[in-house]
Amino acid sequence: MKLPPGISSTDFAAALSQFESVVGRQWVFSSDEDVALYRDAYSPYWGEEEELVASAAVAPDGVEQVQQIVRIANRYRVPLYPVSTGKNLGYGGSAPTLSGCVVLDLKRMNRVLEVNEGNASCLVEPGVSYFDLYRQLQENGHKLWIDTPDPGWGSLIGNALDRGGGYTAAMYRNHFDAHCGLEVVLANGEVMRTGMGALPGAQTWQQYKVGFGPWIDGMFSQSNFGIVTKMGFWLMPEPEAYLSGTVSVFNRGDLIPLVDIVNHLENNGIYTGMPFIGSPLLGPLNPGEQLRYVPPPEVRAKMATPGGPNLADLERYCKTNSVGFWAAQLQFYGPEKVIRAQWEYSKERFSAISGARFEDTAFYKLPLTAEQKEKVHKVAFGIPNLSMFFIGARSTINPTPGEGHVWFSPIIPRTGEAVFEAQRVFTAAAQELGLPISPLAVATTYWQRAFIFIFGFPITKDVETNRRNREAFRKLVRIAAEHGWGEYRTAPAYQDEVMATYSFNNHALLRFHETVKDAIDPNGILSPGRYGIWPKHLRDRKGKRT
Amino acid sequence: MAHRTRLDRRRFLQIGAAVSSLPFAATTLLQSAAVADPPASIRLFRVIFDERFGHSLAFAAQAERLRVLTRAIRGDVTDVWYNDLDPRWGEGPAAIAGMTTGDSLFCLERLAWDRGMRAVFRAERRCPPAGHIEHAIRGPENLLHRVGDLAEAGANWPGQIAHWFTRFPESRSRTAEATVVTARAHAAADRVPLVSWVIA
Repeated sequence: MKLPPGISSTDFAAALSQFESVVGRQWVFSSDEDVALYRDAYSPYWGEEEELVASAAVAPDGVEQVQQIVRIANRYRVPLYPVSTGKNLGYGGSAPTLSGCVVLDLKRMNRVLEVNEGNASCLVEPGVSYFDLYRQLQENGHKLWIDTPDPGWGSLIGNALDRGGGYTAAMYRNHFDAHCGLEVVLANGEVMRTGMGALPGAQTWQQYKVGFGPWIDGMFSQSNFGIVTKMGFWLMPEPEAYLSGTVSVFNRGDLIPLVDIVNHLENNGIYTGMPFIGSPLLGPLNPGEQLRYVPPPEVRAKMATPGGPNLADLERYCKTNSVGFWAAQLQFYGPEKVIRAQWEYSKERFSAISGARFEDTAFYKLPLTAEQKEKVHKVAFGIPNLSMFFIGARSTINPTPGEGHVWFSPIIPRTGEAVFEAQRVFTAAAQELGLPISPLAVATTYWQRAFIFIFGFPITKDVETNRRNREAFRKLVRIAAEHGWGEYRTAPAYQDEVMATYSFNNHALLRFHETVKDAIDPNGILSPGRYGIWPKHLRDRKGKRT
Repeated sequence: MAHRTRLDRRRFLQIGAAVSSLPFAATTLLQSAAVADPPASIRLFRVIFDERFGHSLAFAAQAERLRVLTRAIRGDVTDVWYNDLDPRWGEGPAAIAGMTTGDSLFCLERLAWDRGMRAVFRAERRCPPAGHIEHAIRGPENLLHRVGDLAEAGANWPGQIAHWFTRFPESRSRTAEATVVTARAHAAADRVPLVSWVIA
């Protein structure tokens, strides 16, 4: 067992004993076998000395128990690492950001406290997963959708606090933006509510986000300033119908007006679903379906040309074979007559690109039938699933799958020019580092107004391969930052490096974080090092997470 | 901590090849934890199999003959978990077993953990050349004393694993590990790594 740094075994044992008195002995886990369950299955340091591991775990079932645990942790200076359901795979899982932390496992706090159909909102505890809320909505006949990431087994609160995203309409797709109201246990054990939750008797906690005075909710996302024990979310009223349409363009340079028009239509609310933009040469635009796609031999050969594909040759291929060089798929939710009109208007706008071709991709009246549910891209309809785990599974086209991944996911400007620049920079880096980044890769559009150029780094159980991948990941972080592109989220192994790239004015932002941390968590008991924020007594560990 | 009862691979190959003349040799090698009376067995709520793979189908067929309810998957466990397992697990733990890919087990293991259960046995199948298969096994020692049965099973090894699982001990001894080689056990084309497992 790795004890927290600077904590004696006597104090640690005393803390665990007091945790037991709060939650019951069966909810404190300290055996090697139990603690191993909290390892990050996708750790870039799997099996190495530097792998971040917990010392123990404690699982409360209510906010009062969380408060008591926090007070005990303060007494003994034992650091806690709260997790909601611990499913943050690819970004750290349930392992702490500092070895020796006691995981505060909140999955027993799994109550859906309120669903308000009229307000299209809910209030949940951290242990509520997307599957849990979906089941509750379905079983009670609510005409409400959730917005779920892939996969759907994670916590609404955990995903939102890590600033995850989903696939339905824009105002729900950014999970933190879709929240309304927090309850937080602070590092001193006090309970605080934000927004209208701070006003006793208010009926508007899940209706009006900001309340009065500084809006501080953002300080509890990607941070270590408190333990969120309740969170409200706005939910999407079930639309009457769904339509998707695809526009294909045939010249490489057409990407620039294509992105401009996609942006204009989205910013004007002409469509609300997630737009997919990509090259049909790489397969379906939907990223999940693309992973299953095997390009024709002729395309594979052109893409494998040493030094990169000949773009003029690819353009000729596209025109000859009526395959778009680029395409955008828009998704519309709403009444049938409205979304059909929106698609017609969208086509008018895209017709400004010479040769643009259109296809009505799909139309469904909602709710979907059981048969339709099996066919569709489930998450675009708010249906949680686990299929993402099986897309990259071993198959004839993928005989040696990795055993996990971490995401490299920098934010780049939402323009065609920025995509071309990112392709140039990352393709060159990929050749140097031996990474399979396609020269036609286009960023994804989870968020409005910005792209994420997302790329999965494989995790293996081979120490040497993981070491090489870590070096490559860190190099890509630096290369991206040199071009003004920053990660939106990252695994704990890289959080110090990424935070260091947000360095304007001698790291003024991080220094502010540290000032706040020192003020509200002087003993540094909450998630030391999370997102690069270290408490004062551990600040010399910055960049040295062992 | 796991207690390792690892047998030399070459020794097991020899055992597998000599199975007709020495039917109990492998069992004898692992008698360190042998028990006089078989312990009570767990009740399996479901056996999960991946219908894309012949060995998994054979495993399920034997489980059905042994009167265990089976559920088919094709990699993705969402449907079987959401519609069958999770409603049952909401009432309390219920043991399941399976022969699937590692990805399917990965998901089920974590979902079961949310309900207070864990993988208590796993046998990861590898396919060395020459038609043998090799299982890296981790499970309760009072089950591992039977691994000789697997070495002897030949092409019927999936049925042998189903047979084991229906007799999986309710009270389990410490965890042990072993590697077992079964000779003449697979067709050359069927080399997808599968994992046989029990979650309880």
